[in-house]
Amino acid sequence: MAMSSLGLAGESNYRAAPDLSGAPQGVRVLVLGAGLAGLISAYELRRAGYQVEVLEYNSRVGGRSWTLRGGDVYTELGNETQKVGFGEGLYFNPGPWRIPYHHYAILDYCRKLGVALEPFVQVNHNALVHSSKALGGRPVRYREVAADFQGYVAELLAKSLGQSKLDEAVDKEDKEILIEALRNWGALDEDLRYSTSFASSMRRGFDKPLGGGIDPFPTLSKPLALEDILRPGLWQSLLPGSLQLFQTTLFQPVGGMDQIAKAIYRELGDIVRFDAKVVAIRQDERGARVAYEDLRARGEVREIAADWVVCTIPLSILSQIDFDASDALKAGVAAVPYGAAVKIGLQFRRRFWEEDDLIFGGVTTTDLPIHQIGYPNSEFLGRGKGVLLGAYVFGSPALEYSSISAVERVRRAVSLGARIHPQYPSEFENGVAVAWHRAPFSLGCAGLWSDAARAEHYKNVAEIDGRLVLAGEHVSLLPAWQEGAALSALDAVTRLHKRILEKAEHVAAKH
Amino acid sequence: MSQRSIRRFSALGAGVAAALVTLAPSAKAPRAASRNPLYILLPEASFETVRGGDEVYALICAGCHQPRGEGATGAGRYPALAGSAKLAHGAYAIDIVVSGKGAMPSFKELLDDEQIAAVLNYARGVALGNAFSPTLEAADVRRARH
Ligand SMILES: Cc1cc2nc3c(=O)[nH]c(=O)nc-3n(C[C@H](O)[C@H](O)[C@H](O)COP(=O)(O)OP(=O)(O)OC[C@H]3O[C@@H](n4cnc5c(N)ncnc54)[C@H](O)[C@@H]3O)c2cc1C
Repeated sequence: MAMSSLGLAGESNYRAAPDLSGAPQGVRVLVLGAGLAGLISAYELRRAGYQVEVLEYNSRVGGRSWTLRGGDVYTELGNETQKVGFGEGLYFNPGPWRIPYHHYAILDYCRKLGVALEPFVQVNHNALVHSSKALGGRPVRYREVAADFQGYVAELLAKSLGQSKLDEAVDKEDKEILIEALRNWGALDEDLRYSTSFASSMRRGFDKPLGGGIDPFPTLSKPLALEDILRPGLWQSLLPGSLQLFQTTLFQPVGGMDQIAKAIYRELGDIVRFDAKVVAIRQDERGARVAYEDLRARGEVREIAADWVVCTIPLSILSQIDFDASDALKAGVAAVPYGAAVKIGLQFRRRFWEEDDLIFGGVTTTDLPIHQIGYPNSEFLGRGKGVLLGAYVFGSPALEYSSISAVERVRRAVSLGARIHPQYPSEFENGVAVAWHRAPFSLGCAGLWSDAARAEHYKNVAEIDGRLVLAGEHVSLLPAWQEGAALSALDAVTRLHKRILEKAEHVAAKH
Repeated sequence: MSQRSIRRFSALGAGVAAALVTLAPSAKAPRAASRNPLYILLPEASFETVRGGDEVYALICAGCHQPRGEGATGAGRYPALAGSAKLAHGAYAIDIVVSGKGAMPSFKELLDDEQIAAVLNYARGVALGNAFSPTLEAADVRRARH
């Protein structure tokens, strides 16, 4: 089967919750980590009748699936502490913020556990496209770039039909249809030109819009020049929305991404030990023992025994933990570097992007090292304060952002963002910056498997190793998606359950 | 679809892709842009003009290993570079920066031989409380790339 048919472009292969029936009595499973992979593992195993306990380093559930609100305190590696100053009801998702409509496993948990969802706007035609190298640094609307690029491409193609070899590619009848289609698709005029016209203004917007009363007449807008779209790369802003991952409809949980983890946690009861830092995993034929530092008791080391262990600790951390496993698993765990990413939440006195600029949700893109501005996708037309995503940076620019203080990150986001929204300096109130390499509980944003490492190690990392099985975003082909964490967990507990049943049968047969 | 394209379509959008392009195969923005359809206006930071070991350290290493090489500890840790026996071993230290180790990515595409030698010499010197010799040369890094 071709790889693409496996849904690797991000579509999930989830169909239904696993059927883990017939679990033997009294089998103890220890889950390490209470991110989504750990919570889902614990939820399904407990439902199946296993005795489950969870060890979690943080004092909260969710791991990377996390939301910051006013009053929250976050200390990153390097010991800088940020106290979030957001107003009542405002929040910021420093990690995951969007769920594609086809991430069925995550959506199924939301449905089952009553997590309210609302639309996440990915493509907003009225959001901005900005390049410091285009149009003297003046941002334009997404709709202008979209209409103009499409129009020029349609014009070039329509005109070249009949002139060139393209002619041979379509027969006469199809050619007429195609030209007509291009005329409509590109908003071309009678002469197949993309120009200032009513049709093009209906796509890219009017300089003076249509109105009512005595002077309802519009002023047409003039398209950008093609080279202004091509050379500075403005056309690239059109690409993400075409991917299935970012196609309409996307969702976000009402009130913050952490609602999903919290909803699963509510079902679990009192089985999560927080502030428990796993430091060693021992196993033999009879079972496993996990040592952890109890951070509520000055790091005193305690031990828990279990029959099986599901470990969802990110590989960035697991690779430093003393654990018993095959050499093959150990080599895989050590073969995955973790990437840098930085997100910055900024609170403003008023929602000027809505009031002044008519931007309701969605994303502005820029070549400045803030890369994106994400507008809130809820509380539209609200009169109060608002929090937006003031920077979402990854790759090499994120390394630099991670190296400066959080205060400085926020300061830079405000001064760079002001080149796109001049309202920034006067409306800005406070901000919070999360650099994922400095997150004490993940040491990075996601595992960056190389092709070579995946070919060599992936299967070994997924395999049950004695009493131990790994799950998490890193054990999936949907890396850096919550769906990947969910699918890996569902697969791990399904295989583990099968292994446990086989063992039980084996023991029964011997007696 | 190839394995490579899998990684491009991560939640970070171009994010992990960009990170990959940076940290794995290529650090050169134009090539990255042409290979990666998701490279939405996301320029790579260019470190080409950053020549001093102190500057490279401040921009790239300090985020994890901390400004004075003190390292940091949470659920996992970033090893301290001050007084590090591993750093004392020049060839070993070069190999880690070139090839990566565990969670630490390889920097062989992002940094050239001179930069890697310079940043290691900085880290092996007094600024981070070390006094390791000898001074490492770009040629030592070049050899380690193979
Ligand atoms: C910037 C960013 C943007 C993202 N955007 C999206 C998005 O828009 N949509 C989407 O679906 N996904 C997105 N993701 C990806 C998503 O967040 C992850 O794939 C998912 O949350 C990973 O879940 P997990 O359970 O595998 O790992 P984690 O959430 O990291 O859970 C691991 C748990 O283990 C705990 N732990 C670590 N070490 C120890 C230890 N020694 N002892 C005990 N416990 C320990 C951690 O505290 C944590 O709770 C994004 C991620 C980032 C960083």
